[in-house]
Amino acid sequence: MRPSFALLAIAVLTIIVSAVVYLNQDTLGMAGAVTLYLLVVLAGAYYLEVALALSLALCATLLINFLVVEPRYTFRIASVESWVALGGFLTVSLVVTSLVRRLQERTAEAEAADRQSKFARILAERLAQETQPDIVLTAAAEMLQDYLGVPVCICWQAAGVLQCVPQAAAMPDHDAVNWAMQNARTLGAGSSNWPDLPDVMMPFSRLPTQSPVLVCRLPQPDAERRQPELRSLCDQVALAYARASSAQQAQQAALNARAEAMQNALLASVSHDMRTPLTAIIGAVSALDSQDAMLDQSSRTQLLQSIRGEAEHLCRAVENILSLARLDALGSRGLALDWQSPEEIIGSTLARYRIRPRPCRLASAITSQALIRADAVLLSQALANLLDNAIAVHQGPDPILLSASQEGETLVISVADRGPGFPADFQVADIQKFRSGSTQGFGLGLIIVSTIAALHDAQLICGQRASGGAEVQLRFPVRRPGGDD
Amino acid sequence: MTDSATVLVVEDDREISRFLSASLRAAGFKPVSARTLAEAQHQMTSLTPNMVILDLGLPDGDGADFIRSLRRYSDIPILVLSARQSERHKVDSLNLGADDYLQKPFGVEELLARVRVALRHVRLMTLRDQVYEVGGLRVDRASGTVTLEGCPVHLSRTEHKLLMSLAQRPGRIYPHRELLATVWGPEYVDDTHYLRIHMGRLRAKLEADPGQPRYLLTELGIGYRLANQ
Repeated sequence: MRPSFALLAIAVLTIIVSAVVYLNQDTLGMAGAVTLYLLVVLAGAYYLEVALALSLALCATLLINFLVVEPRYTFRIASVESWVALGGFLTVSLVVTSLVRRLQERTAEAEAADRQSKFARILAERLAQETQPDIVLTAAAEMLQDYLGVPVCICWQAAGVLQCVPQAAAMPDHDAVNWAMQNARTLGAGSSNWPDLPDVMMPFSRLPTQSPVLVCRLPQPDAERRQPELRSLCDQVALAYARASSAQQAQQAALNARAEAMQNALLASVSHDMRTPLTAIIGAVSALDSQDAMLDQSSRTQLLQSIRGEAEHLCRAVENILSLARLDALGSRGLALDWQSPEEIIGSTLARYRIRPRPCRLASAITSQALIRADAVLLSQALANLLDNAIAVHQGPDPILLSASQEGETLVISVADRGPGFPADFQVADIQKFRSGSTQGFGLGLIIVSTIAALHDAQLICGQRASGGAEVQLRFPVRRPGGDD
Repeated sequence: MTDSATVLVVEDDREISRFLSASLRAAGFKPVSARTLAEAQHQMTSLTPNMVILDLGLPDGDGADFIRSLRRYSDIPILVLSARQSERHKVDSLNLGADDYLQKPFGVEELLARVRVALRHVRLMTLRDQVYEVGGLRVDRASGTVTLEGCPVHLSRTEHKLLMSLAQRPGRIYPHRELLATVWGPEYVDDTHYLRIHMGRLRAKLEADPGQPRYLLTELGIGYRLANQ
């Protein structure tokens, strides 16, 4: 009920009661009049301000004196009995007023505490969902703003610059925020430090640090009264922020550790894949250079061929390292995905092997014309690595077979050789496990194949052929191009 | 004959330039080397070479600008040398008017094959021949007839248009987007799957083994070309 309306209503009620008492003096008597006025006082105690309620009690006593106590229509009191009755009424009125007041205060306090605990719970639940420290702060500032009904922002230092969320908030006084941060003390309205400031500034930490500061524009006397509540909310946000920050740090540390392990494993593999061909090349070249006179034509040819072969290996190793570095940095953003025909990719990969001076027996079998979403150059590189591995171990008169076929909604590209096959305990998962540095490597070739397969959502399967040898499959999901003619 | 053709080699790396010149000379060409774009511009006018081998990364400017300025007054074949995994640069230089590219590192066989392809292309052009005839495939651009081993081949409208576009300059690489724009229209430049599907059908009709094409050659990630030998 609005205060002015309450005052008017109580005044009207007092007039009505006085009229009733005046008109029914004889029938009501002292007891009836006192009872009616007590009701008015009770209503006043409930609906009016303290001072007004007390004035009403006094006023009611005077009205009883004027209208009921003999002699009537004067403020004189003739008998002791009347003195007692009036004194009793006044005392009861004052006691009732103060009791009602205290009850009201208790209720208001209980309601506020309830509201606060409900908000604290919602705040905790909301902040628990966030893992990014700055998002925790933004969410907290927005929620506190809604709850307190005044502008709220949270400031912190990042790389020497004062940051402030939410974005829309006006940046508060720099010096004041820095003071709160460095001294770890609350300042501004309602506190003992800089009480003239319009804002309350509360640092997250009670120790001098660069911790964030909660800034809210609570007016007096709320700023002082609600300081404990604000402190507990601030502590709650600080806790959520600390949790998110340490989670982020832990995540970063894990990422760094993984990157380091990967680098070590990669370096070992890279140095093997590059040093071996370089050793062969330098050896062969120095033999040709310094022993030229002693070499016959066939050994000279052999040395030249080995230089060429090793240089090609070196070239592939460099290609693999570059691709791996690019894909590690960019992930699937490093792919130039387009609709590709497996037939074309297999065809041009094989064409590169056919122009080599020592061609090996390669055959292709393409039974599917389905298109796949792929990066043609990377896929061709993966196939070349599989072919290199196959050529290194292949034996016998059969050709190495490159094929593309369809099994339901899967397009299978496979490279099959007649080599010794994979070791019995070999698992595809080991290829990537190697990247975290836990097992012996399989060379860069399979790592790049496995990385390229994963980025294409293709499954890599390394198996044995029933007729002997190894078969590596890349299994692509077949999707239909939109708007096929 | 082509074997006495003058080849301008624009390459700033001394070792690569030396290897290129030596290989070209051994194969009967007359190599002229330039280390900078300025030198190359000068030799273009003073020597009138038959073709240019151009490294894109030169100390005094972008090779792309050189292609652009060259194409303003000359139609001579340009073979671009480029690093691996820079498909965009290759496509860009092809779009600017380069005829072909060679990926570093490369062997002598590959280099000479590309040079011969480029010079043969010039011969075809100078004859103003409207007929393409390689192996058993004969494409008459004037009448629009296509025969394989003497028998007429029936092609769909799109397949026909695609083949005619490639036959315009046999040996030249046509980037995907250029073919899509010419055959389907400029609004189809991103619909690569049309190109793949129709190229597959065209190969099925013209090639003995579509997996190892003889006429319709693939340049992975770049485009297609019609073989000219």
